[in-house]
Amino acid sequence: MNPERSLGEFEQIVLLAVLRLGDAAYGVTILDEIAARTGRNPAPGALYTTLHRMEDKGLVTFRDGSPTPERGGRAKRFVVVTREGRTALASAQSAYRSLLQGLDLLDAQLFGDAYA
Amino acid sequence: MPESISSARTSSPAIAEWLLARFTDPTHAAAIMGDLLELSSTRSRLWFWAAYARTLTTLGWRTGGSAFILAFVCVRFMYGTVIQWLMNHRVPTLMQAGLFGVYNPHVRIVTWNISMVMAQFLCFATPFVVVRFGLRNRLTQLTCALFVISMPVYTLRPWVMDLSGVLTILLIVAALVATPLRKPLAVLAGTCLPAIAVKATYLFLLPSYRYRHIPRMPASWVVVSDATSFAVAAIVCLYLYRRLLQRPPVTDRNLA
Repeated sequence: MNPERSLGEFEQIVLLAVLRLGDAAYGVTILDEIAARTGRNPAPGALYTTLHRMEDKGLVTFRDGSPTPERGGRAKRFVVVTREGRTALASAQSAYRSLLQGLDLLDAQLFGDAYA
Repeated sequence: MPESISSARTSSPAIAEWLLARFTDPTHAAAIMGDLLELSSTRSRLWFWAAYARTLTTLGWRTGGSAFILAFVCVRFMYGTVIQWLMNHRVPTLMQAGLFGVYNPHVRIVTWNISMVMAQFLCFATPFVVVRFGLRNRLTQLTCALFVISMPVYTLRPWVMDLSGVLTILLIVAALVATPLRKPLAVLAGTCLPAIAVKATYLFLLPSYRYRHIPRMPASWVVVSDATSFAVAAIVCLYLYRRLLQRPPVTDRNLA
């Protein structure tokens, strides 16, 4: 795989959160989704840097929303995953899946050590 | 949100947003400020400004200006400390040792000269591209590889200089042959040449004195000439990177 297209862990988390949120993915909802699903509370700056980097790589793009009063009249910028973003994510996830095969790590974590 | 806090937050972000827009484009800056305001509606005013400061820092870190300043500091450190340590004070000046072969006249000039010229420039280019583009970038990886190979030339040991020169030439040829490295090499070469030209202009055209037939600049001019040539290098590097290596904007047909 092209090293410039390979995804870091946080990039994968952000892409997955964006895909889960669908049309409602923007800064605030992405941070909330990551916090809810992973227990992490990433700094907003880290999220924006990652989104900009992924935009440069062609993995995501942005779509402007309409301004809202609680945002001081500023518009939301919704994040959209591109076809290349989906391909890169699928490739990274299949690599994880391949490495996990036969290890039963997820089952051991869910059902305790007795299962393993 | 209480009225006082709300008004305080929405009045000061005008300047804050302007400052943020220096590090990203204005549309992104407005959206980021909007996100921070929305997030801060359930948090304190201190949280808003702390989050803003952290965002500003993380976005500002990879800009061309920050990369230039950090790279320039690195250059002064490299010239003043690392290269001196490598040379182990075997010769009084770099020019005598390197470009004119006073100390090692028997060393094959073609091989080690290319390393020495590359190493001088790469002292700036390496930290610049590391900060600006990150370690996972091909331009950064190529620059780092050349830097690591060419720096040992300053040990001034003949066999190290020869080895370094040969390896540098081999790496350049390999980058020319390998398609993924060709454009990064073009960016690096296009960055290097104007910087060397500026430095040479200072050296040969502006007031200088000669020491053993070698043109030398007064110490105060050295910093100025370095700053100018590296500024040119940084500008050319960013321009060439945008033209040759940056991906075109995503169009609707690329969307999933």
